[in-house]
Amino acid sequence: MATSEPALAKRFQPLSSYRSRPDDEPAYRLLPFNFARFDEQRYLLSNDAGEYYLLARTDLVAAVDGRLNPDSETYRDLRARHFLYDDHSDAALDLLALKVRTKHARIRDFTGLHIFVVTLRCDYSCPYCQVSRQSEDQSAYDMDEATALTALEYVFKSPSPTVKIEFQGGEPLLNFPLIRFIVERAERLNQAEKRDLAFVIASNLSFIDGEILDYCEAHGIGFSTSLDGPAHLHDANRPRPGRDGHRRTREGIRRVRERLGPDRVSALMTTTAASLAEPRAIIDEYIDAGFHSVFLRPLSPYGFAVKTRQTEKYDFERFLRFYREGMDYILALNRNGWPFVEHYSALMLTKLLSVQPTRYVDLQSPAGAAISALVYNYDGGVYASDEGRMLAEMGDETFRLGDVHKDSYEQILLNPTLHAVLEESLTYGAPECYQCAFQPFCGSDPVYHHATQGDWVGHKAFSAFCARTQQVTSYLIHKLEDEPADREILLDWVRP
Amino acid sequence: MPRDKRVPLSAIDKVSASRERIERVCLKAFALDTVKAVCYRFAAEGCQGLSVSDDGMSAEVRFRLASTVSAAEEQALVGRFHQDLLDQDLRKTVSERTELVRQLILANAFADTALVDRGHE
Repeated sequence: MATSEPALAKRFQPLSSYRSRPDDEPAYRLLPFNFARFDEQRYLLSNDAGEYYLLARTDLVAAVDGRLNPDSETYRDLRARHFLYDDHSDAALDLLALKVRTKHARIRDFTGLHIFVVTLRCDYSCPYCQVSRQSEDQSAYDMDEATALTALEYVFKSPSPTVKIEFQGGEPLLNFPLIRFIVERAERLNQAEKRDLAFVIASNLSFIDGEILDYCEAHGIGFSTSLDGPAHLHDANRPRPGRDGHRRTREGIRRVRERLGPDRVSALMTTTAASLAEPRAIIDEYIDAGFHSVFLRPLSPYGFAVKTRQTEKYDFERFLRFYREGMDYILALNRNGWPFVEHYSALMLTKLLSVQPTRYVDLQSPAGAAISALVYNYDGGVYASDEGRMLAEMGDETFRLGDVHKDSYEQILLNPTLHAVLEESLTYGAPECYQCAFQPFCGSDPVYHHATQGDWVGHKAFSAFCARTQQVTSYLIHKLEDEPADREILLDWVRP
Repeated sequence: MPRDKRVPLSAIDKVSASRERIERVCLKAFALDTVKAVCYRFAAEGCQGLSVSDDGMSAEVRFRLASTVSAAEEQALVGRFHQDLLDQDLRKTVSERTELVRQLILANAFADTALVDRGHE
């Protein structure tokens, strides 16, 4: 900061004003941090820049009391990670501020992901699906071109230099003509906009054919599909007429890979009660399908998942056992020479070990609502997140921001509910979060807490969202700090 | 676990009543806000009430424990509650000592300009 704005500078005291101390005070000053008991011996310290450190409570108390020996390793580590500063660390505050700013860079370039729900029709009848409809009546649940055109206008009003348009359903390939229409219009608009534009279709791949693959190859469109595990598990989770969903999905993955390339299809799994006993079988299925990664994610408490009591069938402790068993297996695979990544862990590791922001919607502060993604429903309704749309299908329209047929982009983004959600989802000021040692690695999920507690901030002592973040983060820190062989593997997963 | 020696454990009295357990906390040792923060954190573990004595010298924290909670689990819970009181007290100290510099860092981070006039140093 070689230069300063004199007018603005009047608003803040110079650094020296923060350094006044009596002679008997220590030679170092504390920087803000949070802490929590980590295990029987150690405490976890973290700060707003996302730095963390483990130390004994005696050292923590000594550091706070100003009794830390400046020649000790602990002192040097704490200074290097911005937990304290002294006369030898002039740039500490500037550097810390820069790291905090970098971690929040996504706020400036908001809404990189735009989800078009082109139809609710689907050939599957999954018990936990929130939105799909079994209907022959196309007009009832398909997006039309007029709706798509207005939504596209809104897409390019977002300031994000990267724009990803994701087609969802239902099964979006059942309305492929509209996908073509949107892709070509978006490409035309982007000739002037010059954004980094990408397309992905979230599909069960049942209806993939040569014509669709030709088109996707010509326009650089990728696929995301669902693969819940081996056939008995996948077909139990995702029933369709003929009970051949698993076979069709695996065949679809093979065809996309053959035609578009190995990296043009990814897969997501949903963890139901039936999945919890089979983490190894699920991971083996992903390996067999040629994937080098899996996302071990819990079932969301929305829509039909609640209506059919799917989310009540397992508690969070059972999910954590599933996650740990899966991770231990994945780490063993890596040690034996098979590179394989667990995506949720990779996201958390990126937050732990990098100042670069992640784009994962569910771990943002303020929440990712509208900042990370906007959802344009088939009928023109606009939602702050995909989960908000799912909740709306259960009759709760709390997170509906407006309608492209009635509301301007500005009216949608200035929706009072959205602003209230964003303000209250800043973890800097949320109850318990403000002093939580896991806060820099966590975020807010207002839709989750609204669905489970009827309040978008939520009581953190009862939040499975908090428990998951804390326990997964603790598991990963333990691996990083206490298991050198696993540390080497996990460091490779960091993807800023 | 190293024991923090700054607050004597004798500052905390304990009264048990069937499956309701009451922990009495000395408010000369701990600020009421500290006790409130710890009660919030233990809400999912049966912490259901907080009241202050008429003379303002102590707080009573009421736990409602399920019948399935064993005596050993109850002792462990109470132990963690008291440890958390000490931790929360330490958090309060850190927060008070770093509040101004934290405001400066956040302002500097989000204002996207040089706000500190180093010419005055």
